[in-house]
Amino acid sequence: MTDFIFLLIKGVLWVAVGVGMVPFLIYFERKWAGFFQSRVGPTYAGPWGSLQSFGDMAKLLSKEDVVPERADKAVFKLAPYILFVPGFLVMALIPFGPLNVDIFGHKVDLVIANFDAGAIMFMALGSIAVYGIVFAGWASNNHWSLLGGLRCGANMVSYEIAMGLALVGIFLMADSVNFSQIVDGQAGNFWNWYFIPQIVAFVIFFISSIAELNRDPFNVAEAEQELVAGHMTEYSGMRWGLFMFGEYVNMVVMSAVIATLFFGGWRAPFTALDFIPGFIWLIGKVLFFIFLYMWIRWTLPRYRYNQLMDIGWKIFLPLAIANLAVTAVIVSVVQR
Amino acid sequence: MAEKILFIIFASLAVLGALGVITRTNIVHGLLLLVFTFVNVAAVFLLTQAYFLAVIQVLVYAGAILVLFAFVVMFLNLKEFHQLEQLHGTQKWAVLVLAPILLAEIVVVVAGATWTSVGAGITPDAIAAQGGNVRVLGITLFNEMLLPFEMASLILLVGMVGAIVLAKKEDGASMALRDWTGDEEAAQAVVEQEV
Amino acid sequence: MTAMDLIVILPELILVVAGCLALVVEPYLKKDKTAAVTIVATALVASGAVAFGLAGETRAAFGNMVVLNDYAVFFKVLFAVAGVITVLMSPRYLAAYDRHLGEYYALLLFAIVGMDIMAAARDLMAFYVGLELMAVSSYLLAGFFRYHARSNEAALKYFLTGAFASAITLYGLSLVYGFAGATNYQQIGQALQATGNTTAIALATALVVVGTGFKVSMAPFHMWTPDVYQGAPTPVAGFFSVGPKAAGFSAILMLFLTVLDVSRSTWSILFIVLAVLTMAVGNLFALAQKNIKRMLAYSSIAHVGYLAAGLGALGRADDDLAGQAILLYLAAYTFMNLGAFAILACLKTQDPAGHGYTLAEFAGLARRAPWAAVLMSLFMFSLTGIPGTAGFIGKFYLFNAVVRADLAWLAVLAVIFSAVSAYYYLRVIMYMFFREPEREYVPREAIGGPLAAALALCAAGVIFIGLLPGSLWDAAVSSFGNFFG
Repeated sequence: MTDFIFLLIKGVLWVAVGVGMVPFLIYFERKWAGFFQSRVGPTYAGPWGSLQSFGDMAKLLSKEDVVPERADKAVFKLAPYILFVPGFLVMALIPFGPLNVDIFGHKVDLVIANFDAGAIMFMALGSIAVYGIVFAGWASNNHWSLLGGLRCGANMVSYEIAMGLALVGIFLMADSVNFSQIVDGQAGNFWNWYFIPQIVAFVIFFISSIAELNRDPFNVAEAEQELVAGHMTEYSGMRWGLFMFGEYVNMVVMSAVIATLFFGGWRAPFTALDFIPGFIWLIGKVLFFIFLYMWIRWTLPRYRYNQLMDIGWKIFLPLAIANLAVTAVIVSVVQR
Repeated sequence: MAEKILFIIFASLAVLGALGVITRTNIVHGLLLLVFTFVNVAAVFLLTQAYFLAVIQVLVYAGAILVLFAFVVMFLNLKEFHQLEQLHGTQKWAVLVLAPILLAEIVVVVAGATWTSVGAGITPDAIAAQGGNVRVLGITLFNEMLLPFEMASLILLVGMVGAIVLAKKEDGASMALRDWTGDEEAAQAVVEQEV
Repeated sequence: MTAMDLIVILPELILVVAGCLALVVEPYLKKDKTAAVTIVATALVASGAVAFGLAGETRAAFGNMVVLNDYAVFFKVLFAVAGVITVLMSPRYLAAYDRHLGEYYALLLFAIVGMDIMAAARDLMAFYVGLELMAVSSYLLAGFFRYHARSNEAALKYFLTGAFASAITLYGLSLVYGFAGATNYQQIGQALQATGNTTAIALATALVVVGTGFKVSMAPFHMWTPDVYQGAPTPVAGFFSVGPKAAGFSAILMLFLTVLDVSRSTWSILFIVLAVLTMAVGNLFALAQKNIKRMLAYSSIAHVGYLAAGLGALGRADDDLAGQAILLYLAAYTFMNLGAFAILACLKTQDPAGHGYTLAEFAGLARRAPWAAVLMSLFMFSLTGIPGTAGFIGKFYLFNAVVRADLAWLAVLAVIFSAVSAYYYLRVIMYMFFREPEREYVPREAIGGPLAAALALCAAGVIFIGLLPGSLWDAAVSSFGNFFG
């Protein structure tokens, strides 16, 4: 029974962090956008405009929910949920502390699900999330939406391969596909983290993750200038809000995964700093990567669709395979 | 007991989903239900502690393959499945009689058969002792199953070569007559000639 | 895995390497594909030679997945020979359609690798991946002329029926796995011996018979065959009629004699029924064909009927005579049927736009192309089973084995159907020599080079087996014995 209570606490904690961060992330995104574009961003609601997101949320909730007459209504309504539910599931796999910690006399794993094939599960759930966008595009019965959905489908399929192959290098080094063991493999100071030996994999994974998240400069599905708003064109009110919400939740999750795989997860950069709880470190790393995503989004112009495909297939895929081959050779030599 | 209940739930959801796939006339609904079916099958795999298989089921089937299906459906803009005119209309009725008989036959025979379990000695603890599900599967795959594994990679190579051979654009091939002469009749004659 | 394991699959390794090499070389070749053809033909010869050199050895590899023994060697050499002849038939024919690509040869080699594995497999896993490798390559080869509606139709029909057949086979085999708890042929055989021939095993047997029956086009699972052979490029159709068919029989013999030995009584009866049906359908439908390619397709179904009779006899008899006769028949059939298709390929290459394979177009061929007419007659005689040719030897041994298994009535039926087949085979000869052509034919340039070599090989094979069958029979006898290395 206590196990169950702890599980519940961990789950609520993670969901609260994931959901609770979103309004502030949106606020920061807008503030950063203002900074990069030499404007001030939101200022009106609350001190420095910090309550802007809550105002937006109230607006979205009170707006009329328009479903187009010719849309496929069931799929139209289902699609936003498909997008963000897998994101929450991935959160369950991310460890935020060591296994078997003593808390009030109970042995507790500081991860919701210490899943054997966790890192692959992350890929699998990511591949499910794409249906949200693809079917949203299809169900809207709108040319721009359909194009957006199609582009997103192709984009996901292309980048998932490079991403998966980049991950295999990590698996080889950690000798495991379990997130907790991958973090254990990076024990010690920050030069033991995998982003140094696996720098190629990190670059591939990080850039691919931008494509997976559908953010600029790979934001071809939404592509405001060409496709109105891509798959979201026909959505309004809170359903549209759910897409936005899903985007930010997925960003949090993706940052957490990158932190776990390449930057030691919950571990401190120096063992001397271990007294600060792992959870804090993880959140810090997550915020850092979210900042990177925002920085990139407001700095770089969007790639053309065919350029996106070229990068995925002609550069990242061969590079990822080369990285895998080199890693495999080195790991097998070192292990002998 | 809990596992049994969960199995019944997921298995029946999978069967219902599969039934939905073949009865929907809207192809995209069928596709969504197929994803649903695959996810439920993955859940059944999870219940048998085949974690890796479950994940791969979602990643490969529900994820990669069906996204391509969705892609094709959208490219061709298929909305509804229109039933083709049946050439052998009476066969429909023969199917109605014969298929249940075959099903009943298979059910009766299979229910009465004696099965040999290969699970003896393979317990979750034993697998955990050998380093977990993924490791045990990997070791099996690259030792006992090495030859079929490599053969499967050859099949994939053949698939890729075939896709290129069948789809690559060719310049000036006489068979692509239609493209450069515009003579529809001559082109049709070439298309239909004996090879 | 050790180096010794690799020797067991050395013939296949040669083919895989050559196939990949052909794929790599292809982009650097312009119109002239001699390099690719040379690589592939050399590899096939090397593969056959290596396999032949390994004859007499018996050993298992990859944890009893595959074996090296005379049975596997017999088929590997046979497939290599069929492959060489097909490769020699192809260049001019493909060039005539502007579809002379290196990928064609690579796919052919990969198909042969799959067939080799099917013959050598002693494990259901290896058998099935071999089957699929062969099948996927075959679908692509059937649809190789992608601008031709007929070729597309052939590929689609082959793919759909093939996938269906694979599914049925697989379902039967999955039941077998459930009963025996093993995928190794030997282990399954022993496990099933313990339970005896239950209803469940009979059901699995029936499913495997149906699935493999589809693959080798036994009636009533033959419907795809004429359309596929008619639509596939002619050398490919020739290859289909001998290669995958022989591979199918190699696997059928192995599966039913080792895995499903316990249900002998079931499958022998099934095969006898299928044999009668197949012989009737193949021969009677062939009578009505005006298109020679379709006629050869139905004739190939008829020959499968004779082979199925042999399978029925094998299940009934105590000795291996029928099995040895089936091997001999497959070897003889390879040469004569590929020869007939080579003649068709030759005529089509001379006149790609005009020739339609109709019987009428064979009228007066003897005057226009005497060599082609003479060779075609030889192959037709052989397919009929006239003494002095390979076909006679094959039928003689096969029907003899059927009689010895107390199935005299089946042998009599087979002979009667052979007599029926004489009508449609000899009709071709009659048209070639004694009919005036209905229209004027422009004299065509004779086809030399590789195609002539292919024809010469086939003719030599037919005559050699017809006159001196001793060595081949010995090979068949020694091959059919110890199945587990």
